[in-house]
Amino acid sequence: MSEIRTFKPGEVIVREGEPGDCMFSIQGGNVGVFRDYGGPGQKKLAELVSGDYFGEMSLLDHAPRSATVVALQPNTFVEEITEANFNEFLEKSPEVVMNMTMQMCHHLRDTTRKYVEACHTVVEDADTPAPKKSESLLARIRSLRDNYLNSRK
Amino acid sequence: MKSLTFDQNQIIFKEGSFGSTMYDIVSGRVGVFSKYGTTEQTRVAELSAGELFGEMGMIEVYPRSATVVALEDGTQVSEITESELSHYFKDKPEKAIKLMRTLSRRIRETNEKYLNVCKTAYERYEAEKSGSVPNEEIEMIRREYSQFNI
Repeated sequence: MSEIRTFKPGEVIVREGEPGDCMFSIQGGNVGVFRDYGGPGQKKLAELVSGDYFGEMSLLDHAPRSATVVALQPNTFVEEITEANFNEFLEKSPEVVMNMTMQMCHHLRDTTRKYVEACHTVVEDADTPAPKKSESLLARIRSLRDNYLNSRK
Repeated sequence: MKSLTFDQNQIIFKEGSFGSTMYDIVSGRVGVFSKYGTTEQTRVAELSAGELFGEMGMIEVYPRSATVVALEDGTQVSEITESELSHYFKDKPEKAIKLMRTLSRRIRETNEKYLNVCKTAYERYEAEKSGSVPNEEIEMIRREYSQFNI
């Protein structure tokens, strides 16, 4: 059986950077998803409500939590879904699992597109002599360079 | 959901072709090949019963990234379309997590490849300042890119 947990406003459900192996399905109330929660760069990435889910990357990959999730309303209920009770969850909420799968398909498609566009930009840059490089090409190259530098932080 | 049976060396789908279906191996084995049938042919993976392949096909935008060939006579696979997916999950709930794990791995791998191209852009940008730009990376990227053919 899956466990349903109740949280008060301000209570942290998962913390960014911590290990985890389960996902959560919101049964009531709402939650905020934050980057650098309580730190200087705190940023609210999303607000999720009943029927939404989060933490699926930890369930699938045992990846560390990528954001901090905090209850925003009194009586926020979340169901904890582990690999062991996943089938039960699938039986009860097949549409959520389908939605998750499609979201991941879209994510993969976007990532693939981004990758192909980056290849295109770098090849175009290599094939274009310096004086003929357009502003748009130079801007795209700078943006790839910045993405690389940001990924190292 | 269709059940298909293949003989050894029979092609299930070809690199570069378009298809909107995913496959689940019921019995037998398949080989995943890059540049199948050419002098540069390489076997990327070997998969057996219970494993999934072709999941990118359900996304429908890009052509098949490899050729998949049956390695044994009587290799049986189930062919699944996007509209059959929920029914398939109901039948075989353990496959849902398996498919999502596969997708998650591919998202991570593609993102790593993307960051590698970003790194090349960065290195070329830096090298341009000193006047000597390396070209080996570009040929690799050009080959990768040409297979998407868009």
